[in-house]
Amino acid sequence: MGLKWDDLLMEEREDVQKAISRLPEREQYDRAFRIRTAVQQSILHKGLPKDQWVTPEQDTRYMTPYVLQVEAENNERAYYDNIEVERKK
Amino acid sequence: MFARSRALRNVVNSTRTYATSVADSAGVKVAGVDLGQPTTSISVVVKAGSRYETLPGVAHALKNFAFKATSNASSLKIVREAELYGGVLSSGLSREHLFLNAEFLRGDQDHFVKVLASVLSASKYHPHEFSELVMPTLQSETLNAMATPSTLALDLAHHVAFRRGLGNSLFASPHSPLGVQDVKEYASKAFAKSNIAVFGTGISTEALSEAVGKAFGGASSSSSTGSSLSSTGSKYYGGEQRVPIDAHSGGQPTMVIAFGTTEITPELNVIPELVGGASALKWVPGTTPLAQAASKVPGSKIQSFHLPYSDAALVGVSITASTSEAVKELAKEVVNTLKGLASSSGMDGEAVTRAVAAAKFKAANALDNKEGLLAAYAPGIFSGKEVEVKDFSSVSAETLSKTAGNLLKSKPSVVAVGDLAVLPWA
Repeated sequence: MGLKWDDLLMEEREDVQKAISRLPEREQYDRAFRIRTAVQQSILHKGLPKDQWVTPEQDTRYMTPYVLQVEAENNERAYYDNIEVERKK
Repeated sequence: MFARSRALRNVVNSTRTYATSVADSAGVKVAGVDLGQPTTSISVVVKAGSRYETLPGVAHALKNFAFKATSNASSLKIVREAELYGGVLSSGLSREHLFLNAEFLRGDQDHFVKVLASVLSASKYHPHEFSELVMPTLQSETLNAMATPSTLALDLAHHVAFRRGLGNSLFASPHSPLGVQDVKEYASKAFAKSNIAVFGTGISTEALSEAVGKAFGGASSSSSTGSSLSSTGSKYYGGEQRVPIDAHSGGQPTMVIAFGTTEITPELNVIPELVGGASALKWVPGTTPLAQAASKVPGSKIQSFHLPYSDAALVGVSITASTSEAVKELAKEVVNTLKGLASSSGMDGEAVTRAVAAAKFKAANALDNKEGLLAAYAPGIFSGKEVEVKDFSSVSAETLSKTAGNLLKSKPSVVAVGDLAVLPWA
């Protein structure tokens, strides 16, 4: 189908949406292109020709760092929202 | 409670001192003025105002990038920690300087100076912060300025008066795109140690330089090698600019008539007081010629201003009224008053004494609050100059009319914002 692993991340989550918006423009375009190709192949009930398959070297986790960054930000916000302040002894 | 009791204790111990000496700490100029107030405010003054900018609007973008993620803290952490200390962080931009301010209770200077130092040396300038946090504020500030005729008119008056350098707009423009890389490059040039000074109120120079030495000394030295920004000396041009405003936007038509000079004399402080505009008393029209003129048209406002810069000054009058017709009438009166200044016969001895006294009071009074102190210290701090209240003893009716005559000989900078079919030409 020509998809990368990170194309299959659950898109309906808010943090993944934010990560997608932070991708470089080129990555965003390529991602949309791969998903469209996959949908088209699915409609045709056909696999891609072998020369267009994604090789293991090409299957980079291009979006994971951005998702982790957003997650860390959310965690930090939650931490500061629930922080208990102790008086300096 | 703890913070308050500590603050009070310090207030009792401290004496009212005017520590105006400028010290050198970790390669950075430091000065503090302690008037015994319960809060301390520290400003990092960077010679990176709009006149030094390499691309239009980059100084404005850098101002809005202050207190974003650094290598040891995210922007959220910086803000929440400042809140826990009960402090306020802010940044400001003038034509010559970029300010990073921190206001907090006495005794917390170590934390806040560390925050300021990390903003200067370790800001990350993430692309996503630029598009998610900086751009929206940049756009709204610019839109707001463009929709406020008085701000827009003054900005344009600088533009026609000085063209480049001091004439650069304070606001980023939608017509010149900026990228995060541009901001990063500008910051690396601007935040060189020779380009930075730290000014504090409510803190002694010694305590401040100790805190600065601790925080800035450990900071990465990459910033100290950066080259300083440069700007060519100012030259006055003058000219005219006319901008229509949308009649339904709610903005009031405004005209600015200004004269610039590169010779700075105490007379320039007195001229705005002489022509006046503002009244010293509430609900009563003032006695100055322009205040009298403004009182004839209800809802109108005439303000005279003197904007000093390091190598130039802009003196002028700003007229605002509810209709363009009223602005036109008032502009005629203003021009007549300004012309009258050049002839010494038009100068009343009593009015001159009054204006000198008003200018003296204004200059002295400015040194009584944080903003005024900062404005007074910012230019001199880099050269280690002490600040003193301006001397107006040399000002007389003759010198005033001579200065006014020289000013009026140059081409005026006239900006009209409003209904262009009605507003007069220069």
